[in-house]
Amino acid sequence: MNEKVRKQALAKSQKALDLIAQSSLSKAEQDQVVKETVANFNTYVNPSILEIRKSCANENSDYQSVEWDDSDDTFKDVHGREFIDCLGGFGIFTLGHRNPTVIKAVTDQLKRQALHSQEILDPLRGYLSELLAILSPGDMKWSFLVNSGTEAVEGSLKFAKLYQFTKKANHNKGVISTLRAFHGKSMGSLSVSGKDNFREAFYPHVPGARFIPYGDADALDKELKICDMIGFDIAAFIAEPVQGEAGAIVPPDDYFPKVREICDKWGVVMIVDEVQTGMGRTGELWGIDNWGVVPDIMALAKSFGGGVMPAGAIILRPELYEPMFEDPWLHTSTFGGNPLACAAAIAALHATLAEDIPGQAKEKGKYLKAKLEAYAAEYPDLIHEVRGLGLLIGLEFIGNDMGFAIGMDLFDRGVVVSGTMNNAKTIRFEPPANITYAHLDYVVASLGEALADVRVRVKTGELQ
Amino acid sequence: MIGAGIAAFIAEPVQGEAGAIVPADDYFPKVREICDKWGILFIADEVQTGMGRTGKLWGIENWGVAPDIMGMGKAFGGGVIPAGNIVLSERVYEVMFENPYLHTTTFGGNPVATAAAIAALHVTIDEDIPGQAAEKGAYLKGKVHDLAAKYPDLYDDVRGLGLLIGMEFKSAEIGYAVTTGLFKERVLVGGTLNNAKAFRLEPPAVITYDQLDTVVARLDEVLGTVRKQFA
Repeated sequence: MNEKVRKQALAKSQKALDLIAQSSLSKAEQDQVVKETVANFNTYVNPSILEIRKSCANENSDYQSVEWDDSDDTFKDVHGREFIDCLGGFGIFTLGHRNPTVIKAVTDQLKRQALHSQEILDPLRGYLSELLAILSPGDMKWSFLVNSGTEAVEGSLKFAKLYQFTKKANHNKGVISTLRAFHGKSMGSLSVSGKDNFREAFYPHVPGARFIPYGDADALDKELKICDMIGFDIAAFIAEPVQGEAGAIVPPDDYFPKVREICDKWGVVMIVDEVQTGMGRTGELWGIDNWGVVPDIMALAKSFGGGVMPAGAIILRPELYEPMFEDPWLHTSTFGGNPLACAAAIAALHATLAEDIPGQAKEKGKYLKAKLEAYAAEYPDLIHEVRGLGLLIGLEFIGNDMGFAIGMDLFDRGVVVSGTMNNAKTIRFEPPANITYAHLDYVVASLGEALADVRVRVKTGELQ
Repeated sequence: MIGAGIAAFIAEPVQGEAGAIVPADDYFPKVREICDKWGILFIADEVQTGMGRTGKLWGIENWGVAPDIMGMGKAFGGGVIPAGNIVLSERVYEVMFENPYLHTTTFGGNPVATAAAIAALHVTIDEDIPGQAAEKGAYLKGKVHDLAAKYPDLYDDVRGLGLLIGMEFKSAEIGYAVTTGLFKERVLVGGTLNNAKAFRLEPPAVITYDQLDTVVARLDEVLGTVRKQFA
């Protein structure tokens, strides 16, 4: 390595390490961190992230806000400005930011061992898998641990195919998914994600994906009949218990019970993507528990790591995992089930139960949804619909600009909400389940002011 | 000739799971030329070879070649936090400026992982991890070559670069016997997923020479036992 590069890299990294070690920043340091972060994003990360924020901000908006620390239901930027987190990391922070139970487990584990050797047995993978068998629906039992939602979906698809491979003679192994579904953006999970703009640049996908409308069980039966008639063998059906990125779409109550029956009738593996809905988000521990259905495979991530560590899991019913006994290396993961992630997930499950996170999500979800519904009645010129279950709530607007404008307006009032990837007109409220009622009331009041502002901007023709 | 538009060529600088396969010295320079000629992108998978493992910071630097895209993982998080990265030339990444949400990740680039990766890069340079891997790799490989000469009835090949060293045995059974023998002697080595006859020596670059000598001595003992077993 050339000496100049070496010195430059050492100096730059030392500076960042010093910053990480600092507990507070002087005003000059705060300004410098913001300036350098903006410059680094523009030059080395992606300049358009800032451009998009800028284009939607009011003239006084601090769209260059740089986050610095967090706890419970809020985070602060470098300048100490506090935000109420109603985006919840798209579902990561169901237990709040830096939940003390999770932080303790991870820091304790960090003192002993961070990552495992890859080769020999380690205790936490065993304890966590046991816990998941106890807590997962019905007879679901085996766990395969991963690091993220997209990996959980990838593995779920592979295990479904592997199971069918050992059961059936046909080998084309398609997967049926739903329109506007979001299952991830790596090649396999993208193949079953149902939105054109994320798909079109990346053809060919993993072959065999077919799509049907979400919430329509008869459509699944019809599609399986068509596939049967043309000799196209379907391995699995995959769906989210509540579609998150589509804008918090809740299916009819008989949807998943019927889906279960149809999957059994056609011998198709039922995969539920609980990445965003799991860990109490929808008012039950698992989203699918809302309808008392036992899937064949469940994909978990987001809050599974307690909002502290990246972690995910695939949980399977007994016979689904049997093909992996023959060759356990058929699907593997370097970082999946590492000691830090297991410590975090065990603590997360413990805190989820001890703090009754599902119950909190249910109650606060009802409270917030009722307030939003009152706004929908007051602003029929802006709000199209309020949907959701537990603390996964979508607010759909009538015009294309309205959602983003409301989001930026709320941002200026210290409330962060989430846009939805597969539905531009919808914003999501997805706060930690332990958000205080005082903060919820502040969010509701701020939204009222933002709606009034945006109504004026729409009337003047500034927004649509 | 068949009109199948090829987007990219992807390869590991040293094939890891295949058993530490080092390509010919002119391989990657030629690959670079060929990719340019046909207008396709060259992706180097540095997941296992990056961060000093092969004696250079990036494996591909052994041949002075600049890829268009580099994939990183493994040691990028410093052995503490799961982390990975994709490094791209500007011409390749420009397409993401229009819509940065075309490809996204929830956990990628989280503060804990980035802290780990910044520290990992700092330590890698500060402690000259590539230099240590180059030196200790040459030392260890020399010792293993001596053992291969001593046990030609067991060994097929010794290969590798830096501290990514592969030993290939005459049969999968011999490889397995040596691996389990070493484990009994409390030395952990890596089986390779794509080649049962081969296993890998891939210790931390900060391993001491004393430890390396211990490994070699125990390997020698185990090989002696295995020779008797298979004689």
